[in-house]
Amino acid sequence: MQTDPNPNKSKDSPTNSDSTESTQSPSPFPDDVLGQVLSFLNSDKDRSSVSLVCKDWYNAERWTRTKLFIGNCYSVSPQIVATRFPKITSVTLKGKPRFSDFNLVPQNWGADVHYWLVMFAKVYPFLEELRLKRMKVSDESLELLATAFPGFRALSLMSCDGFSTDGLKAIATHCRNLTELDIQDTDMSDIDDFNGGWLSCFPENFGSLEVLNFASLDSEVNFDALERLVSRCKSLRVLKVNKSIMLDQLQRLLLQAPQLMELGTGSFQQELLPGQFGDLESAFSNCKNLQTLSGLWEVTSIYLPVLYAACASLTFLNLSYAALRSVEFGSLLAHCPNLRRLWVLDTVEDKGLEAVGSSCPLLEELRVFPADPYDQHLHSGVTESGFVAVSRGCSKLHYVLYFCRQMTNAAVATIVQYCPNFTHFRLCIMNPGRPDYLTNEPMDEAFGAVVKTCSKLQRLSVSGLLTDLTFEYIGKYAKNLETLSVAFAGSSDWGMQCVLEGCPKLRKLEIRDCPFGNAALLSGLEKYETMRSLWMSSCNVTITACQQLAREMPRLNVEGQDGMPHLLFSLFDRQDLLLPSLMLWSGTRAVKMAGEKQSELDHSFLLNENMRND
Amino acid sequence: MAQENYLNLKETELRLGLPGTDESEFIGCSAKNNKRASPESVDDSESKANSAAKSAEHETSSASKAQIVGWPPVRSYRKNNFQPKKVESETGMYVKVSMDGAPYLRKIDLKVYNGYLELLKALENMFKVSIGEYSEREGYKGSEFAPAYEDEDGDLMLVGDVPWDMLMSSCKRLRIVKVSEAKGLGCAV
Repeated sequence: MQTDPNPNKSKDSPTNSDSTESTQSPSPFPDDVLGQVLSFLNSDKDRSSVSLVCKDWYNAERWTRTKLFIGNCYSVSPQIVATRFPKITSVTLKGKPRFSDFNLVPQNWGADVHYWLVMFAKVYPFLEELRLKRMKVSDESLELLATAFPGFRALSLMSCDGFSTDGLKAIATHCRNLTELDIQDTDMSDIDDFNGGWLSCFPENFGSLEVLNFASLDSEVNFDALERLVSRCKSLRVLKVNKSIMLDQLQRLLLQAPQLMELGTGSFQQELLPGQFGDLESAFSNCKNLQTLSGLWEVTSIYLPVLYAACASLTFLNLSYAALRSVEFGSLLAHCPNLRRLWVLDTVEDKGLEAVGSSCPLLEELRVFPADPYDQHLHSGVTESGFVAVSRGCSKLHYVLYFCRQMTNAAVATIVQYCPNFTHFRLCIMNPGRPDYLTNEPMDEAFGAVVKTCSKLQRLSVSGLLTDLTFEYIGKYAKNLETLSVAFAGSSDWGMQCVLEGCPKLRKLEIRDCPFGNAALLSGLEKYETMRSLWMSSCNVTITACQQLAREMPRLNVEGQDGMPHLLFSLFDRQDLLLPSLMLWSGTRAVKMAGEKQSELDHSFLLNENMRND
Repeated sequence: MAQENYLNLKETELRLGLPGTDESEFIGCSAKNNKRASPESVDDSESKANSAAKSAEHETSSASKAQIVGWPPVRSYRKNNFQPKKVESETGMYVKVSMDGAPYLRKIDLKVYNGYLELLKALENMFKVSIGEYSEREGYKGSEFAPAYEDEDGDLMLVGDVPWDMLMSSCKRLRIVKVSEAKGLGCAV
């Protein structure tokens, strides 16, 4: 988010004829033409660049921006946003750091959307779309959303928590124009009481849904209400149901919506009679437009064939909840020649990945998840040869997430030779600090090969036994790198320094359990202002260094987590303690304190001195 | 310098309290972490020792790895929503397997196998015998051994006559019999 380059100019009109402040020549375009032209700009990066050209362009841009993207909800306050952008209809907000997915961030870290919604209700009553990721969303917030924005159309909640049935009921009841309700990856373990009656709250004359995804909501739903809803929504193109929906119910839904482009099935565990099997098969064969298929919980080899007829046009197949073995997986793949994206479990093993290499020449993205991440049997899952097999057959591969237990430098070098166009390379060797299992050397050369060969690399996750050499390579070669994740790696501060000095486009750096300390942290002072955020946990960073950082960089928010409840670090403490975790991000003020009660933020403390609202 | 301060602290017993009340409340935190570092002199050897200790720790038994918070980095949603088919469930179906002429018995878990083919292959491997091909009419042809099982009535039955599920529920033990002794089971030798 670019800060206002000229905070004194008038903000109230789209044209600014106050030429006494302007030292630049007036724009050659009439303002309304400029506005028209700029309204075609969609990319945030372009818009930010435009806003820096001159005052007129800044103003024209801010009056024509309709989509707001905020990658870190604490990087800017709602007030600033509301003042600068008067015409927003679509908001995307991201909250907690990614490591909160892995329980590394305290529960009450923050990222509550409510105070944003309160501001939006005042300033953007015409808001249509809200997309949230890793934010806390209470039922009260959902109720506010449902009632304060009459034109509201699209709600997407990814990895959010804090809400229950009641909130969804409010959405269903009040949002008359809803086209999209997309709830992904909700961890239900914290939700005590969640029943499916919310689906019945859609009015009987409501039929505007195009996207309905409740796959991650773990509760029985009222099937009749769902079936009626699906039959009313003639434009429905995305339907992802949860595990409570059985196969015979799925078949009925498919009959109502053969036009679906994206389908998430329910559970495949039901025992079908032969007649039902045939019905299901023909229901699938009627879905001629299916591009995405997911769900497939507990699918077994017996039932996979019902899907075959629907797979011809599939471009995205998500089998990451289906423990398939290589043989049945291979048979399924033979029917999916157009796959671009594939998510699987490592139960398919290397043999299954060989089938990928031979059956999916158009593959661009592969994610292989571990079926049993804590499995002590080291012989299960996939190895380096599966990855090599895929790379050999799929030259268009550019996105990979690969969980394995063994890897070699040579294999990775081979992989990037076959696929030099990686933009996202996320390799997770599940045993921390594991070397090349054949040579017993560190995995430095593997990642060296990746960054040397893949010049378009934007995102990298490293693993295995790594010395500072890996980070030297990254700093030297990864010139397009934006996101780097590091765990149990590196030898000294030098490693982190190489990255901070060498990667010009670095935006997000997340580090855990590495021997990087204060010298490394303090080497990146100016760098941090160009980044979205830095996360370091279980490293060698101490409080004093963080205090120094906070002092020298007042525009950075520096937050530490002490990991212990009800224990406040005194800023005047004589001892210097290791900080269990640290997050820093740029922002014009310590926004975190602004909207939330101190008591809700027990585990974190901000080190900036400018901790007041203004 | 910080090291000195630490050593100079009176009452190093664990105490928790708000800052300003007493200096020793931070011991709890450090005891938990077991890591201390002096800020001014980041001792190279100390940090190397730390990382060496870390990597030594990582190379030790895999049992401890399962305890690392948030590792491997699999989202909690994904972990909670997928139950892998357990190859050996806690209540495995172990049955004794004897072979005529073998000095001791073996035990196998029937749940591991998806059907007769897998079971027979496993038995062949385990006892280094060839069992031959099953036919309904003639039992097992082409070998001097045939697989049999004891059912809940104590009768010795030929493996393969009933659906696999039924075998799973009725089999009490397995026996690989020499065909010459199995005339009564209907095999034509």
